[in-house]
Amino acid sequence: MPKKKEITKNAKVDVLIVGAGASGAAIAYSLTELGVSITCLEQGDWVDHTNFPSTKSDYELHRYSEFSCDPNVRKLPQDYPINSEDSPITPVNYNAVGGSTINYLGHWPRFHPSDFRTRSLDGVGKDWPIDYETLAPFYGINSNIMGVSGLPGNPAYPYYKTELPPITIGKLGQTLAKGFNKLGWHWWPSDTTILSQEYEGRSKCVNAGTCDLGCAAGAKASVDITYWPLLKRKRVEVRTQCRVKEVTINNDGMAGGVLYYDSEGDLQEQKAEIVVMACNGIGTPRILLNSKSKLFPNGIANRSGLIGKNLMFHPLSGVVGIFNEPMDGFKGPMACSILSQEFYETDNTRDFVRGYGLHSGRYTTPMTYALGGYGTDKLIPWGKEHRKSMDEYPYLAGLTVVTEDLARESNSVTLDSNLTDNNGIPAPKISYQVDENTRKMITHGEERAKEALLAAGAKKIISSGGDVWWRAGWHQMGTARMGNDPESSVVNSWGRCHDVKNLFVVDGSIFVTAGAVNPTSTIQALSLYIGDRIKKNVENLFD
Amino acid sequence: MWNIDERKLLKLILQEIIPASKDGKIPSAGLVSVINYLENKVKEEPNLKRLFNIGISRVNDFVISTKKNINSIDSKNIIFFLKKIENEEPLFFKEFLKHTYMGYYSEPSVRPYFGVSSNPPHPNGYEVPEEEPNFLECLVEPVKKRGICYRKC
Repeated sequence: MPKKKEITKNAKVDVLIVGAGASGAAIAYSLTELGVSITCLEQGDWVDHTNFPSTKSDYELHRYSEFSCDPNVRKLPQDYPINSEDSPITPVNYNAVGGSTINYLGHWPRFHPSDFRTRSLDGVGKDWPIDYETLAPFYGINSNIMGVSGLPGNPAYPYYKTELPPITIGKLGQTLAKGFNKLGWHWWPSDTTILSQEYEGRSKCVNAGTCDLGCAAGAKASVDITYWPLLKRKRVEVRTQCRVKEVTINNDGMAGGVLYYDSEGDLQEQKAEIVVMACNGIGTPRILLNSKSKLFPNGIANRSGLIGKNLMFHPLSGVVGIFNEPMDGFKGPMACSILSQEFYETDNTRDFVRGYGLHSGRYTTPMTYALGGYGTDKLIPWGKEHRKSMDEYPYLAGLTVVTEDLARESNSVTLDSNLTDNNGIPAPKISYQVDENTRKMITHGEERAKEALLAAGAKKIISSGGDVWWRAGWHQMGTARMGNDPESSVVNSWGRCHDVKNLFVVDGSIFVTAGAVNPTSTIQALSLYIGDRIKKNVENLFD
Repeated sequence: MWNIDERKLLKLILQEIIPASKDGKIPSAGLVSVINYLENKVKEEPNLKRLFNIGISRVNDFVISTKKNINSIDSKNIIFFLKKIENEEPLFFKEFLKHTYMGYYSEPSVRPYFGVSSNPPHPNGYEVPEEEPNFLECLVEPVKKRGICYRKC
């Protein structure tokens, strides 16, 4: 009988962070001030920015293979499969140092103050145990590190500054802005981590229009080029191609560290004083649920039974207008031009609570339009109709309806009983339904988007007819939410698990509500805030 | 993999899937590069190969049924046949369309017809005229005038 290979045991570290993406990098940065040893385990590797698909002549094809946002399409060794058969939305991500900031679109709106108070204000969801004012300084610190372009003075927010002037909104943005002005509706140039000017050694945007295929110019802030160079200087260790299997538990009920598979597929143990989970709203509950013990038979820190529950996305839908002049939609940052928050806050005259944003994404490249138009995955017709559709391509401008999702326990991440990754670790299974409130928002949003496009001069409207986009699962939130009550939340007001006092969660899992904006700026602000609280409480961290 | 007759027939079919523009300036999908793309794709992916085998055998049946030489099959016949296949073999047809679109639009010489550069987007990107600060300030002025639109809490 072959001898079972022994688990390699590594020297104990002070802080062990699982995940080298947006939130993992931010907390590492914050904790470097403590002068302690910090190690980060990342299942992916460093990516070579000079080799991004956008540098290749067949760049569009990469969107449908190894650089797809969908791990079930990409199927790279570092990816884990996700069973989303029981969901109209599939999660998307990227696994590497930098995480999904490698292929995200850099849109950088903040949450509204009301997003933290939905129960008190609107009687839905739960209030956060912290508020906008608490996070505001950390939004600022993060903005400085990432480099944010934007126009100060947006009346949809308490006043804040950005590092750089706004990116060019372009012909498309200007046209739509005039439409919003005609209707008397709010709009504002998008905040973005895409540089309008050189910043901290990074080049400004060259308007390549392929932000999802990686930014070879370095104009889009991915944390591998913003936070990680700072972290390396502070001697934070990142171990790549290391996939965490489970968080271990000691006899005293504290986390001992993790077991992980290294690049050779061998099991290693890494002990730590503090374990920080930063693997996003799908990856974190997956690992916590996989961490079963006598003390926690349903997954570590899961006495509330809420790990994996209350999964929130931002269900998306889109409306496109055809204009008389070319809109140059493929030139410039993909998702960022202007953003209307006219319908963001609750209005009691509507048949839904909370709200949505109208995002004027620029248009994408011809292949992507032919293969799915506006995110619908429906091919445009063949034959003469095909030529007609493509004749309209240069004249397109669209609005994406980005809706606030309300938390429901039935929307969840569980462990699939059959599907595993290439290390044999059970894969996540998504069970998700679009809420009735959200459906009403989508209907309302599509109608308002049509109005705005027509006011801007569109001569024809194309709509997905209320269908939510399949690959809309960029924003994964709520699956280990924060709160003061251990019965109804997983972590406390500063990210520490109620049940395991040296285990922290800092990613989108801890969101209590979803807002209706891209969450990465809030994820990172929250992560920096948690780091700050750890530093302030360091003397009695585990009390 | 595909013989000369099969490639000839595929070309006729592709010309109907994405026809040339009326003025003939924009080529149809019957380009050699598209046929080569499809052939490579089928070689790479066994599932696709199985699907395409079904399609190819249906094409052969169709040619036999017309009792015509490939060169004399007209556009109407091909469109009729494609609609039939679209109904009877939807899985194959969807994959066929998808890969035809991918083959066609990944051809760098096609992109400029839609205003998009034949070059990769990086390093050069695109020229977009920058907006003067005053221009933007004027554009947002009506929004500012209406005052704050978030709830203080």
